[in-house]
Amino acid sequence: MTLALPLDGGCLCGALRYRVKALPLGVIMCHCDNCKRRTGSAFSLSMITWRKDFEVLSGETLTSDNSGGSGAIHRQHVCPKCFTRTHTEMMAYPNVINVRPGTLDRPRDVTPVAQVWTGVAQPWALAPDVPRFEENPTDVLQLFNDWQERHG
Amino acid sequence: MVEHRGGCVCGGVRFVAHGEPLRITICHCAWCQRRTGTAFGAEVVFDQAKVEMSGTPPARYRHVSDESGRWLDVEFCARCGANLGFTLEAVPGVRTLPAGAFDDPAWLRPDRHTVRHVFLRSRRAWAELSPLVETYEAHFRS
Repeated sequence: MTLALPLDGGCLCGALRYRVKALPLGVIMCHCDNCKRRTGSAFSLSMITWRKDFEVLSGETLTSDNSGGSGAIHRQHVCPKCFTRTHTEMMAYPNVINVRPGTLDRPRDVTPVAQVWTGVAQPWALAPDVPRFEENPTDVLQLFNDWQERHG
Repeated sequence: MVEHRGGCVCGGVRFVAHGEPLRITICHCAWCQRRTGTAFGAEVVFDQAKVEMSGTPPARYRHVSDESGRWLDVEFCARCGANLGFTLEAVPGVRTLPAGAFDDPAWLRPDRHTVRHVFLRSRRAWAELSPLVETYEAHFRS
């Protein structure tokens, strides 16, 4: 399905709003224990977007740094009022922003191209038809190409 | 009595739940998708008296439902922003703790606990529905 752009989203209380102006690189589900704790759910969704295409339209963010499974620093951005996490900066990859697609106004428009860290997944939360990787994917650029072919 | 421990990402807030949960609710509503940034919320429901919070007091955000007009108080770590569950006007005496916030997430098992998927009407089409789990188009009370 061709994605209608821009992709707008924001926090629960409406103070923090953002826009993704061009096609993202791709969307991936992650079942790692860090992502479980970070979301409180069974897995995270990451919509990797070029930084130049991402814009905060309104509101401030509260940031906190934590290390991901690899030890790299992830800077989380949350609304200071309702604490919704809208996006993450991955300090090792300064050209991209990891947008949290559950916060999109039309979250159904994007689908994940792969699920990673399935080795530690909640067995009740594995998506039946999404390709699986026990740990990190071997070729993430190929996955992004597949996603862009589906959505571009 | 069995104990289940967990906490936020930075470790500033910790909790312990004594005994087994009343149920686990996997909620696919649009609000939970936004709240978590992912496809659904997964909340473990306990008798409020059986949960002890420790460390930094959680921050709170009150949401009033568009549909029912009732409040829901969502709790977070004020430092790292991680979800710490909520209490609901509609269900007094219970609180939730996020499934992902437990130190051992694997203790939650559909074959041992009551697990329900709710608000399937807004479900992401690719998300799994385990045959072990009860399913509801809206809430199981409605």
